[in-house]
Amino acid sequence: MTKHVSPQLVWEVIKGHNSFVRKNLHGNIFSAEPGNLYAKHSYKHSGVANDKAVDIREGAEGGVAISAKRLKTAQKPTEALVKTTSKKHARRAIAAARKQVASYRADLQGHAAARVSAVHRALRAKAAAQK
Amino acid sequence: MAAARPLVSVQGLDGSAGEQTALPEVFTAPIRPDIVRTVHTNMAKNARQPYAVSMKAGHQTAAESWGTGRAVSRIPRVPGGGTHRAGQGAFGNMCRGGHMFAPTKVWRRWHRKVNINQKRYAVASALAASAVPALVMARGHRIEQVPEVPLVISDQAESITKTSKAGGGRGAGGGGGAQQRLQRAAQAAACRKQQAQKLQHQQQQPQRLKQQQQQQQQRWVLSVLKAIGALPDATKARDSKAIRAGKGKMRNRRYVLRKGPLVIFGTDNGISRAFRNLPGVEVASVERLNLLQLAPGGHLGRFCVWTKSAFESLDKVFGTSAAASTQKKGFTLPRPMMANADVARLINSDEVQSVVRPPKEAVIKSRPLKKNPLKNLGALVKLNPHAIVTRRNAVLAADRRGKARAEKLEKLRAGKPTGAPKKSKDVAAVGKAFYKQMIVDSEYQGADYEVFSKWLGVAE
Repeated sequence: MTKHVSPQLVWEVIKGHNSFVRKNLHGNIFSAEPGNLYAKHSYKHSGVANDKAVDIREGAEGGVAISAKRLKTAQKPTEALVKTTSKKHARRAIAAARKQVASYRADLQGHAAARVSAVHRALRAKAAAQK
Repeated sequence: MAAARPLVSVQGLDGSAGEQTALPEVFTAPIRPDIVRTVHTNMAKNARQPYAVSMKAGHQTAAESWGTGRAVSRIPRVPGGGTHRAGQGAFGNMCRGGHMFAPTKVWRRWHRKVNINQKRYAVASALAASAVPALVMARGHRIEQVPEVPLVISDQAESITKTSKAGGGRGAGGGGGAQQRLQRAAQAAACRKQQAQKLQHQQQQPQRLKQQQQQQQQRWVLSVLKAIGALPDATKARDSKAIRAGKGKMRNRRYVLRKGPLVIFGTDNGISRAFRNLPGVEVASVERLNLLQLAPGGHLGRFCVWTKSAFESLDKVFGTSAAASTQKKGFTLPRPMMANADVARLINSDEVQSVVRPPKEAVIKSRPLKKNPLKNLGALVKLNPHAIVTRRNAVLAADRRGKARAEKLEKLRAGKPTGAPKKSKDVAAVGKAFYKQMIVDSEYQGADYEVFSKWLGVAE
């Protein structure tokens, strides 16, 4: 680890423009950052600026992949994320995600649950299409 | 500050992390996007070449105004006859064939002077930003596979001479003169002083064999980039090549390209030639760092790949808090205004939390609901305290009435006298007489009023 730059400063630098911002014709500003649960361009949801951020997406081999940023190895991109993949049923997965996020970023608990739910919905749709 | 210098590991060319080196102090410089942007905008103007329309454009005619009285506007008109041009308006920007509005001049102020200390500040700031993974990612670089930021690689990289495996084959065949020249220069530097050129020429055969052996061990740029995790960024830059939107493509700026990694070396033993042909990848000497490369477009966070010697000489180039820069006269590293800019940590620190007021409880209540006093007794009593007495009396009275009525009905059913005064027969007689008289008195009689009579019950 080299040094720590405050997340507020990083946000001030990137909030004007960064490569993840997606603006549309309706004036909505979204963000394609990894670790942005709501895809919303804001400090709270920013997965890049925040020291602690949770990323939830479909796992490479199915299931729900949850990764969280680790402050200690922030300078080492290959080791910067703690990854877990769960193949639980939706309700259990949501409960597990809630629990996991509660001790890490309590303010993102609801968002994490919503995202896990959305991923599960996508998985169900995929499974249904295969049958 | 910075009692213990943080350490950065040096990546081997095969991707193995080996020794460590101290983080140069320039990386603790304040990150100032405002300064970087301003300096960048001004510096970017300094490579411009003057352009202008011809001085004569629109003025190569002897046009004169016809003056008033000819029922045409007073714009200068082309003299003569026998051609369509005669009599047409000239000179003005509104005329066909006239000069443009405010014709461009070569003496426009094309270049900008930027104070040297500002430039140095901006470079230091851009360097500091290049060591923050978040900013590098936000600029769009692919650094997910990079082992560490800032990325420092072994000095062996400086003597890489080949870009790819394919390029190496050509080099050995004799076509790649550049690469051979470099190697020869390095190897024969000592010999050259002593030996005459003829001797050297004779020695070339065994030397070539040596070279071939070395090439087998040698690494090429692409394999190194892959090993240190910088290949995705280079690939991204290469794949991003596209035809520029707009007119620039007809003005010798046909293609646009993302920026890939910036490779920074200490001494050039072939590294610049080896890397420079990769699209998007740029190479720079640590002694000549350029803001336009470190913060392209004025955006902080270029992905930099340092060789160890370049990284270690940063303290000499930019100086430290203890020692001034040896290369930049009169320059001291800018220091951050705040030692700790982490606002959340400041707010949650014991020092601050011990003196702040406890949080206020009970947020704003919602406004009380308006009650209708005509329907709501409580609201009525608030307005008229006697209302409660009135209401109680009313209730009691109703109760009494109910009881009395029940008793009376009971008696009636049982055939007992209820104690109510009997109707007087005289009074009833008076009533009956009045009714009969009324019927008789009525004028509604005859065939026309049969219906009425039926209704009244007096017909027939």
